[in-house]
Amino acid sequence: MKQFIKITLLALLVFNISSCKKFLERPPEGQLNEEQALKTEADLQAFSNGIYTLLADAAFYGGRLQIMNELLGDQYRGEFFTGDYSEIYKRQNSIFGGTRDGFYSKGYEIIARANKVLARLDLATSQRNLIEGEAKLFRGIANFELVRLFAQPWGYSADNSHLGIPLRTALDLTSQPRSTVAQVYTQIIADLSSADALLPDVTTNGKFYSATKWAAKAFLAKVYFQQNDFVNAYKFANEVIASNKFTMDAGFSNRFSLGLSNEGILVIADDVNGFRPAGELRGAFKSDAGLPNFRFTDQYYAIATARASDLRKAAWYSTTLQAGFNLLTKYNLNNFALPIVHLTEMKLIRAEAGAETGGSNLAVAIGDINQVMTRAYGSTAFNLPLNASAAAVIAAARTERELELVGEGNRTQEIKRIGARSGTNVDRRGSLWNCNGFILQFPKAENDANTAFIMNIEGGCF
Amino acid sequence: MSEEDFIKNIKFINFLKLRASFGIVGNASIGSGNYYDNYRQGGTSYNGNPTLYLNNIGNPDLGWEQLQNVDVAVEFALFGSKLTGELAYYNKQTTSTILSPGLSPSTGVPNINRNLSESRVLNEGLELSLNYRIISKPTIKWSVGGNISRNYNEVLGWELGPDAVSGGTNDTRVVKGLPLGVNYLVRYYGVDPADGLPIWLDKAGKQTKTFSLDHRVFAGSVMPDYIGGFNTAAEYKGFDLSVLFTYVIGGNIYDNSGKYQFMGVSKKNWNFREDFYDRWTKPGDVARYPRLTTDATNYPGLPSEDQFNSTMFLHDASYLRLRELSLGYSLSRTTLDKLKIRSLKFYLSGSNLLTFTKYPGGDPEITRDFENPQDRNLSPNVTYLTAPTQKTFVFGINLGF
Repeated sequence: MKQFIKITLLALLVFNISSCKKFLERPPEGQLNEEQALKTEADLQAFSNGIYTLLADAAFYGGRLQIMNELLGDQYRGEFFTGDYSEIYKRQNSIFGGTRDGFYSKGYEIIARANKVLARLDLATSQRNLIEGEAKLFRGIANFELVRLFAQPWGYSADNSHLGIPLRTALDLTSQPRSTVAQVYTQIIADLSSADALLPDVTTNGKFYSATKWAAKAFLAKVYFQQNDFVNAYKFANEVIASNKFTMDAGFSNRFSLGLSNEGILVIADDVNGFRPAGELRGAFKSDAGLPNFRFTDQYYAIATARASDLRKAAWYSTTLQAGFNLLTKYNLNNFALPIVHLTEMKLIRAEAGAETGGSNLAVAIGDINQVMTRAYGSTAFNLPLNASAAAVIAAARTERELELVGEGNRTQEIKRIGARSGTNVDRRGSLWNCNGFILQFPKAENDANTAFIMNIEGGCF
Repeated sequence: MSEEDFIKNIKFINFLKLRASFGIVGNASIGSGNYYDNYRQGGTSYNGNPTLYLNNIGNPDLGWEQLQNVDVAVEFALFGSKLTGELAYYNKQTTSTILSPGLSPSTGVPNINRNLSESRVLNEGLELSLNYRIISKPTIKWSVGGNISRNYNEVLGWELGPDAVSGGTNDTRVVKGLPLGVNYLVRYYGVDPADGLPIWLDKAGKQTKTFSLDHRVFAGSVMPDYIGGFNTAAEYKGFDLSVLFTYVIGGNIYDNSGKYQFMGVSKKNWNFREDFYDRWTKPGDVARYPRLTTDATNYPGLPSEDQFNSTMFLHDASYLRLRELSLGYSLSRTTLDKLKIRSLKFYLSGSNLLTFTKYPGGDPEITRDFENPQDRNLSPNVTYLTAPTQKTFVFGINLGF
């Protein structure tokens, strides 16, 4: 009997120890480890859904990305910007700055999550192509936006061997050096091309609130256009337009609306009960409830409204909402679905790329630019003749591009693209397109983690 | 020890006690669950579909932070218990510090908590307090006392770069061989009398008029060299008087709001401070501060007003303060008996009545409530519009039945 009691006690003790251990060794309530979180394809799909909200997070497409680009541009009055905004506006971004750091981290957060999805495709079954395609699209987009802001543009050096950004194709904690711009673009094009092949051409609900191959093609068009590779830019813009899945809106009030636009190729849905994008974008520009930080220069406003019949003047600008200031009204709704890329931009790319490539493309280009201008000026009064020269089409496309994409983060990259294309400096503030400070500085933390990390050279711009 | 035979016979020792302790403890004030990956179900859906997020990845190698503590003290009462006091020494060393720095942001995950294996932070201090009863008679009592402590702290081992761990937004750093929370600032040399622009010193100590964050050096420390106080108390007949002074010797205050006040009503609409009047206005002026500007970036090389951190705003933190002054009068027993009350005392007391300091930004006693512990540890003496300690006057009557 004694023996039995001893054994029982011992057994109880052992049992207790092991159960106690189990009780202690678990994550806090609500926190899941990977085994618990990623078990099925549905889990992986939910994880991928989360990346849409990261893409449109306040620190990325939800506003910060456009803000960084607009600050570096030449359309706004600089004297009202303070702190980080002022630094970026003055093209003298330094090693410290939470606004920039947050943007950088968010871009890489998208990439890290996409990498995690790609590493766990073993969970995917029937939706494998969609999930893999989404991850590659997200990674391609994030790398494209980051490399355009943190590195000198494509064409800065003849072989694009100048430094780009760290390339990450797996989630790991080691520090990575910067790849060259050529390497980064190779990765971006590989990702987007793969996404193009993998993604469906329609979504389950017919809306473009999730990724399709048209989003991948639209971004390929943007990437090639940024590279001044007009053959490919034309090809992909043309494929998107020729799909006839998207139509030009009649006017200018719907591009940023609650689902009224038919132009969006990849749109972040606004869901009253879920994710609502673009808060930071409205915070910077919305002009009907207080004076926003972003106020156009008189110089730009005069250019934008030079033609009295321009319907965009009434639709997108106000000088009276806040007396004495030239403000954007494009984002004046309280909520809207956020197009990441849209048909007007494809038309403008096809117009300019068509004129650059010539031949039969020129007539298509003239058709595109005339369609954009007819809508803008309410008539065909400013349309180009059907025998217009390529140079005239290019000039018109560049003008209309600036006016159509105002406030959407376009101008800075155009200054650089045009600079790289022909060495022309179109910056109205007088900087050279390739001056050192015309890009963002990397967060100091990259250098702290790895002293060999090469930071950007600061200064040298106006 | 005063109970021990070998001391019992020493007449002038009334009480003597030696205490000592040694221990190794962990740090419990670190969030839980850092060991594991942190996935969470999204609170909001996207396009009607559920979301799942990876908030952070786990660190399965995470171990205890270790604090090794040695403590020795002597308490004593001498010369008929007229002189009492305590001398204490402590030595604390923290190793395997748990922090979350140093991860490259392009990893795409937030910093994770990890043990810094090479880290060793020393906190060492000597504290002395003495009290002496000069007169101790029924009608007259007088005593004086004081204390002084020297707290020294040094980062003995550290594997990360100078900017990897900072005291939040406060430009204090952790660097091997220096005290914890050292300021890391560009040195301000003075004003060029010719044009009123600031002159800085670069890393090598050479004068330059171009500001650069590359010129930053370790300058100053937010920890004081000595802190303490002294007091006296006296009673004579019904009167009693007590006075307490506190002091801080050495160390620096970094006036983080100064850089904005310096710009005054410009971009950020701050109030201008009077001590900044001492600035350059015309060629030939020898002034403490450079010429007026509404935008700090007018000083060459300065990226923005936020980066305008320099020794221009670093001040000596020493001060002497009359912490408490109290004067009272208690009515005598005979008077009280007549009035049929047990006690009646009138008193007048004040706190923080006088402060002697060279610090121009207001109150040198900085009590800031930082939201995160890293700031609290590294930037105790970095002020940002910190509210001053209040000055109080109290007149009171104590009546007992």
